[in-house]
Amino acid sequence: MSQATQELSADAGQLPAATAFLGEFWETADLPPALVFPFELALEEIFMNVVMHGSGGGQVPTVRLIIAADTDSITLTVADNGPAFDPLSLATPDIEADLEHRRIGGLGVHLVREMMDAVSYAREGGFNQLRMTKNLAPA
Amino acid sequence: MEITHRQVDGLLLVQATGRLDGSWSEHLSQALDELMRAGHDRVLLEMGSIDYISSLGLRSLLGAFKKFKAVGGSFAIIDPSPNVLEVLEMAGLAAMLLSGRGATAVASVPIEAPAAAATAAAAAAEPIAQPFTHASVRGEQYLSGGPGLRGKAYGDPANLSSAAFVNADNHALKVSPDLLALGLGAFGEGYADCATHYGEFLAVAGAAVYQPGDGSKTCDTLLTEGGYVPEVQSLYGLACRGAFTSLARFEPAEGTDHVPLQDLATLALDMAQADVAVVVIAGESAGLIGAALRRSPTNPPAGAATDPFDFPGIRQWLSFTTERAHIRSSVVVCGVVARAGAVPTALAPFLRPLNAQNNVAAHLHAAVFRFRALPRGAVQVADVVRPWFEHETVQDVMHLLTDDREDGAMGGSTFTRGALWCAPLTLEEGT
Repeated sequence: MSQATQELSADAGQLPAATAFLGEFWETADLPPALVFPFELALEEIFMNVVMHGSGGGQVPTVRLIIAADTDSITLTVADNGPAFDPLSLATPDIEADLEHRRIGGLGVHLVREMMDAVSYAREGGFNQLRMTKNLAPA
Repeated sequence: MEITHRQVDGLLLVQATGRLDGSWSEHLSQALDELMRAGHDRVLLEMGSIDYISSLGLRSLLGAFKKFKAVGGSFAIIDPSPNVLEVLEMAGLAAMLLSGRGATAVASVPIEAPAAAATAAAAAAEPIAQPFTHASVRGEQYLSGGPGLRGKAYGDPANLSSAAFVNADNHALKVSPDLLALGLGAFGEGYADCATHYGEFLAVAGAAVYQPGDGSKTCDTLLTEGGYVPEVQSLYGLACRGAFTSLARFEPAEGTDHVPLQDLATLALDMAQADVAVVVIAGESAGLIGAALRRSPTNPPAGAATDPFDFPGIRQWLSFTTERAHIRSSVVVCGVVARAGAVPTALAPFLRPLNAQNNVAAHLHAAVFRFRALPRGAVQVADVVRPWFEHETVQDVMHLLTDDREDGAMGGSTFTRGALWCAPLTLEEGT
């Protein structure tokens, strides 16, 4: 079991730092390179959601990233102290819609659901916590 | 992110390398927008070297797809990396954005040039492009001979200031495909029918458009269609018929970022090798300066007495641009330009100086459209302009003027790039 934590402000300029944190953990924990993409994607989608929608309360939220891996699974938790909001409550976009009716909103969360094996939301201690887990194939 | 491009087979192949994430997607959107504005309307984006894409990246791809479609072009992705393909499929965008054309079909084409045989065939059919620079303009010229256009001025713009137009001043012009005309006119049955709404008009390539002088802000367009040839009822103007002899594809010369209208006017006179030339410009505006009639002169406001061509003149009749207008829009400009020392007597009442040096005079009207890409190469006026009139709403019709007031002068209209057609004008006798 290995784990790492990083705190960042919910600022679009912090996205490269968030991605770098994930990359370093991957190297340290010697995780399968093919699995870094779904986690980078999930991290960006949720982080950018907080950047764009989390400052409604007048101040820029703090984002806490927790990544944990064991032999069975990898779990990324993105927590933020912005206003309570469950991104999983967003309607699934109609990915069958034609061009004129295509809305891009909600697509990020849709991609996260598709990429991950389990996604859950909780509001704990004043933080939105989104847990995203991908199972590792048995060796 | 690194973005490079090369031309293959009339398509632009754009190659992007790196991450298409929240930090870089806007960069790609801007690069594709610039390429579209430079006249590339068919784009293939190679994504074999993009190993990461997020929903913000998808947003820029979808935005590009819509934009190129809106200008009558196309945008598609070829050679997606496994990660890009996976995300496109998850988002349900693969069918829309992936090119039907196999990646190898274009990837194997050499970077430098299309096949030599195709080049030779094209050269035989098309006039030769000659690079040129002229004042603050550069580009390619396509010169060919021919008699140019024949035409005449009719009516008297001086009547505008005294509101002295009468029934007999009305000329009916047939808007046939070879007509180029501009002046004061309206669509209707005749003088009585048009008296309340004469306004600035222009006619080119079988299309006519005018801004009704009845206070309406909506431009009215008519097109020749099969056997139907519309008419413009006109109180004064310039009308000529014939074929253009020269074309210049232009852009700003090194060290400048836009092309002033006056440089295009002198370029046209040089290319036409004449003292008087007819011009059509189709291109991207960097800001238009001009005026439009607020009301038909046959229905004048009280107390109007000055020559409305003087800038700044009275504002009861004319609305002047108060800042550079229609920046980045597409525009069609039609009219006549002449060397200031050689203006024929018959044209003198119609032409006004185009610059402070007073070396070129002109009468030019502009029709404004939302941005449309310009096809490349030695294109004909009708091939470019006609689809704009057919498919787009004309947003404005203006009489282009130069603002050379002492204080805060805005100068003249400017362009980012475009095509300029010109030919000598031979004046016909009579009215």
